[in-house]
Amino acid sequence: MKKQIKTGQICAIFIALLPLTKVVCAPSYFAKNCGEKLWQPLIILLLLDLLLLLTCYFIYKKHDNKSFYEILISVYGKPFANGIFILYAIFFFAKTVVPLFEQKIFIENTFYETLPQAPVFYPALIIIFYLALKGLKTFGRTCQIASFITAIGFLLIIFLGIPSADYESLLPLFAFSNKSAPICALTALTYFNDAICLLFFLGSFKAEKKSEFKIFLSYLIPFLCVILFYVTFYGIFDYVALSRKVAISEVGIFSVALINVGRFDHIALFLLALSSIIAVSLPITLSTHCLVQIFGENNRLTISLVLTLMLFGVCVTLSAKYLMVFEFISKYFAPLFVLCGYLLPLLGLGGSNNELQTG
Amino acid sequence: MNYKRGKVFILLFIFCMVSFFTNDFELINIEKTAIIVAIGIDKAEEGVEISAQIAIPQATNQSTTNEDAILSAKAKTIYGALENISLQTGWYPKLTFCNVIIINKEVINQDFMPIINYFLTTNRIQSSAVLSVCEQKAKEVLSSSTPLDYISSFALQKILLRNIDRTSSVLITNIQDFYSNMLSHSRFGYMPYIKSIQTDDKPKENSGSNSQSSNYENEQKEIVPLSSQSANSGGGQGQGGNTQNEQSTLYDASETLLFSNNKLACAFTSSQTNCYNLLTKPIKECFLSVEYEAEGKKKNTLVSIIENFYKVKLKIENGIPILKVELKIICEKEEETPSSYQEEDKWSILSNDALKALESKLNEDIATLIELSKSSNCDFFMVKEKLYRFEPNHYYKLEKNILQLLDYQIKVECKNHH
Repeated sequence: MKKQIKTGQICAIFIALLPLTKVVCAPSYFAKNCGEKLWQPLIILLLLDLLLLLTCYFIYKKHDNKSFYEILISVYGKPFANGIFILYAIFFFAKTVVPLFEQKIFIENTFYETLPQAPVFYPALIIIFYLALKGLKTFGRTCQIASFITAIGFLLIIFLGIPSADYESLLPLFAFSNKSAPICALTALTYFNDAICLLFFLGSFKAEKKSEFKIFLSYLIPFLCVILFYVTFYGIFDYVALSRKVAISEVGIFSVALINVGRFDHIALFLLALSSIIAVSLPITLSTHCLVQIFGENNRLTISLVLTLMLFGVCVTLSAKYLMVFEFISKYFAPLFVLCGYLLPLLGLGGSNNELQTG
Repeated sequence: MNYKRGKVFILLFIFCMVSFFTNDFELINIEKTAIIVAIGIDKAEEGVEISAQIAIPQATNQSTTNEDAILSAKAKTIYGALENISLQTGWYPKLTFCNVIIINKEVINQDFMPIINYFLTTNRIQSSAVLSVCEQKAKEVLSSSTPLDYISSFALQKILLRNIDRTSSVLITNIQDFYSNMLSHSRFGYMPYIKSIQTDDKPKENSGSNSQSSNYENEQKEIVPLSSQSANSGGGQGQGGNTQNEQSTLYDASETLLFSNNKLACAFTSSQTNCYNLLTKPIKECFLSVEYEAEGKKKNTLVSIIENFYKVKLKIENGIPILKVELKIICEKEEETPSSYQEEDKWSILSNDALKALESKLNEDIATLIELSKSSNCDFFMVKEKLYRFEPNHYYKLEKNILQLLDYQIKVECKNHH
């Protein structure tokens, strides 16, 4: 019997992980490219993701809870399905790199007085390996706990930041065209496009009452919180927002509560650092999932180990060159992100119902 | 099999926890680290000279003077100078606790924005550190002895950061605000201007209290002897504390320097600083003196401002930019000379004549500020920023010469507290 992932677990995955990869270095990137209109590319990305959620819903309805891999096999044949899943494995691996580097920067900058000499971040890869090895069901369970951790940490940081923010800095809202918004959205796809996960939960997903509504809300609410975080960040730092590289640890620092009580925002930052490790594990877990579909469940250990070692290698050799890696991935991988993130899921809508029943 | 794997994972988890929680998070090694509490920047023959004041525990050496606690180095850049401190002295300069940056006026007269930019972008210093300019060498300010505190920068902090959100006597700014204002469409910034006041070297007993009658105007400061200013020291000026046998220094930060397009543009006097503060932030502690005539007599009243409500808006009417300034003040009487005891005096109520005089004084001060902004082309009312944010349709048409075209309407209302 297939291991089933429940609606609540999918919701927990979105709540626990959706905000985390987007609030480290991405806000300063958005501020640099779009200034006070940094919310505009976010709206574009939100709308695209909502369309993607809708697409997944239609695929689910049309193919009666078959997995995406099974759908591709039945409609387009096994070699085609394998090719697509290899592409997705590369896609998810590429999506892991930048957020992982940013988590490293976040932890080293926030929790260490001076740059740590010892490789303190690398044990996190053991957790990534473990989650990749255990698969989606375990991941869902982990996220049920992590969702509370993220919610508490993230909301605390936002509430500390809101009183110090001057939201007038976001004006004018619509005057002056912002041509860089679509380009910024395109080059920041490495952080976004989380709705794609749902496509890989098909087949191991157990629909319950009002599942679609719950999933939709669990996606929308954290995303709106991310938008609130971005506008608060810009409201606090205004024209110097682009120089605040690690946004998450900077948003709360002007809070009067911190001045009076001390840096208790570090509690929230510790909580978020914990959840963040799980967040950066998601793409690798999905990459493993894709390759396991092709090479079989027996090879799961090898696949997850190889992927983690590859990630470790990338981390050791390139993590000091974060900016170069970010530019490379955002520039050259953007077509892959668009293709895998928004176009290939449409393949799931193909094939007639009869064909599927017989095939 | 699963049981064994579970045990392996528990061991791995314990290993992770041990490696994580036994780390000291690279906390600073106090023996090798100089905890810098203030930085002074002076002009050197080539580049800048940095003077970093170290925090030294008071009890360790009673004879320690501020001069002993200063590390300095020269280089072409700030980063280089800080590195030189480390290289030449062997101390690692730790800037996390540095709250004050003092820049000599000579440095300000040249291109100083790279210095601010360095402080903003480096992770070594917090962006909430206060910026200030001093008329004498920054190194001298830091090494001067003051009755306010055994560390001169702590004394400066008392003056600059005293009830930061309440008083109107000092117009303070930090690295982030300064740079943000400079990057805004208005391209302006300000820093408090620290003047050192040498006290006589005779031993004297000071009360140690900082009373609130701070904002008597300049002329009043002149007639009050320094030795007696200890009792009414505010206005960005402070004094207090101990018996002093050597010459010591007090600081006055009530004047402000303003910058436009990265260059020094103009300066605020103490009363202009006060007035600007009243128009830009909520004030809980401000004193103004008003002169007026009542019943054929000249009267001088010290007014305490309890609360201020302000609005500075830009409207475009028939293509003309109009700055609409509204200021409502809730105040009460503190002192009046010559005193004429009346029934309402016990309620600290200001007479209608005094209120009108105060309104007219503030009206005049605000008009002077706007004219200063126009004449010096320093947009400290953020008119261009307001144009961009609230009147974007007129932005390209008016942006270049808005200050010259600017008209203004001022409405000041003063009310008694009771």
